[in-house]
Amino acid sequence: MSPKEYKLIFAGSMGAGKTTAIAAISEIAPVRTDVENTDRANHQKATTTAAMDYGEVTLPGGDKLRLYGTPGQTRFDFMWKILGNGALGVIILVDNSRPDPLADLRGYLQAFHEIAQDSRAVIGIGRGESHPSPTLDAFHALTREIGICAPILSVDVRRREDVLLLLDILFNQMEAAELIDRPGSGARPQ
Amino acid sequence: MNAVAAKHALGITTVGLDLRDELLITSLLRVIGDGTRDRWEYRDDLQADVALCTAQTASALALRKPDERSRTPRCIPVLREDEQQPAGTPALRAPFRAMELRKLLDEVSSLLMTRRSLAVATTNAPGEASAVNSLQPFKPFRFGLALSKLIERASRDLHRVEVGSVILHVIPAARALLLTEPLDDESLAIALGPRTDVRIRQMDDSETQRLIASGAKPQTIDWLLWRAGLDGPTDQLLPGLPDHGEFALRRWPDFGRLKHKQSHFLMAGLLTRMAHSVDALALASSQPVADVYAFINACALCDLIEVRQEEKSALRDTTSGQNTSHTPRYGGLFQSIRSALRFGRS
Repeated sequence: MSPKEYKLIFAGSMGAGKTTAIAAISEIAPVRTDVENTDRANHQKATTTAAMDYGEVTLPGGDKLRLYGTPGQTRFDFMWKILGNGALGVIILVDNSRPDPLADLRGYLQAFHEIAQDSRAVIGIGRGESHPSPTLDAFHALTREIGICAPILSVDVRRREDVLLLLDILFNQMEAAELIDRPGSGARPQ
Repeated sequence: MNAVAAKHALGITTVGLDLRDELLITSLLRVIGDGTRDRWEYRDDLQADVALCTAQTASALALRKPDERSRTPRCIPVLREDEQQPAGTPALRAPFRAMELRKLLDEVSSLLMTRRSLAVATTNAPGEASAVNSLQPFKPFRFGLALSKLIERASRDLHRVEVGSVILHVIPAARALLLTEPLDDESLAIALGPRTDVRIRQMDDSETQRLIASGAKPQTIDWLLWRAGLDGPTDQLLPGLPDHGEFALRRWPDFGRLKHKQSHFLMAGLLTRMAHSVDALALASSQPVADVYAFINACALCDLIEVRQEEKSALRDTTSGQNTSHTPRYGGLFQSIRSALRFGRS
């Protein structure tokens, strides 16, 4: 039987830490497609991801978990949905130091709405210590407004354990959904 | 009746531990002070109620003849490194910490109280009130509930919260805690003690200015409320939560900032999707009821819980589908990923 492949998406605005998060768990040096940042009005990074980042993890039995980071700039947003097709789940990273982090999250939740509604999305808020506003309450209010109940965590993706925490919670959320939704459970979601 | 009755005086000793450990235990008892359910004193003899022993000593004492054993203290094994905890027996794991010792002493108090209750019940005439029924000095969740009520008031003023020797400053409307230095384990043990009095008063402007000038930094109070729930009694729900209710989560706790166990994630996933009773959640998540109580109590103190009265028609069992022919959607995929990245469940 040929090895299976699974796809995990890291989405988020420019500078939110997608490349760093992938590098924290990938077993290969991440393939990066950084180019000079021509959008200095929105972010001061010297380089940014123009197409996508790529990393991978080999699973027992030879299956592959492929990690894709979406391009951060909104002019590449047509790529987000393409990358989302067939994805196991999506990890949305928000940089709270950006001018409008709530609008950033709204854009990604719209792009990955189907995945998020299927309990396959987790949201990590970065730089919350130095930029406490908007609060987690505001992010939760936004997800409620969109009709999603996704986990939202304060994280620093420079720490590998925070990246693993996001994955662990994403998987537990999916397992909980499966436990409740499976045929014969008699359960019905609230 | 006085809600806070007199504590039992209980003795603790050590058998077979080295001098350094013995001194450490006596120091920790002083640190804990009256933060335990009963009053504990260190004794140098075997007239103590309990003895902290090495695992070998505990086994040796357990093998003594019954008439000798009745006069010996109850043995609590001290476990080191990879030593396994004997089933159904409380134990203290090295290195010793005040919080763990306090929890152990309260657990032992419960066991001794049960033993006393049984002894009284066997000597009392039927219908005669048991002497231990009047012993209700233990007020669980005292600190967490006081803090939670203060936060509910949503005042913008700074409040001083005095709990034993620990002083905290809180701005309820901002759910903020102002600390000049981090709370250490010992202070936390005192604050979370079920017998420690909590005094709260609003601070005036000059006191507020002085505190701000002293460099106190605000931080979210949720971690402290969370700990008050998680480290409280694990055999009951918070006062006010119905034993037969169903509980749902308004939203996910911020596990990025809150102390957590891996099992909390699945419980949170289940409760955000569907309301569960305590028993149903324990069954669905394969966790002990004690862990479910602790998790629900922590969520409730952080105002994350919604209570629904149990409806018979909606009684659900999320494990009942296990014997159907349903193929799991993800199979062993998550286990494979966890194994490859070495995290989570083993």
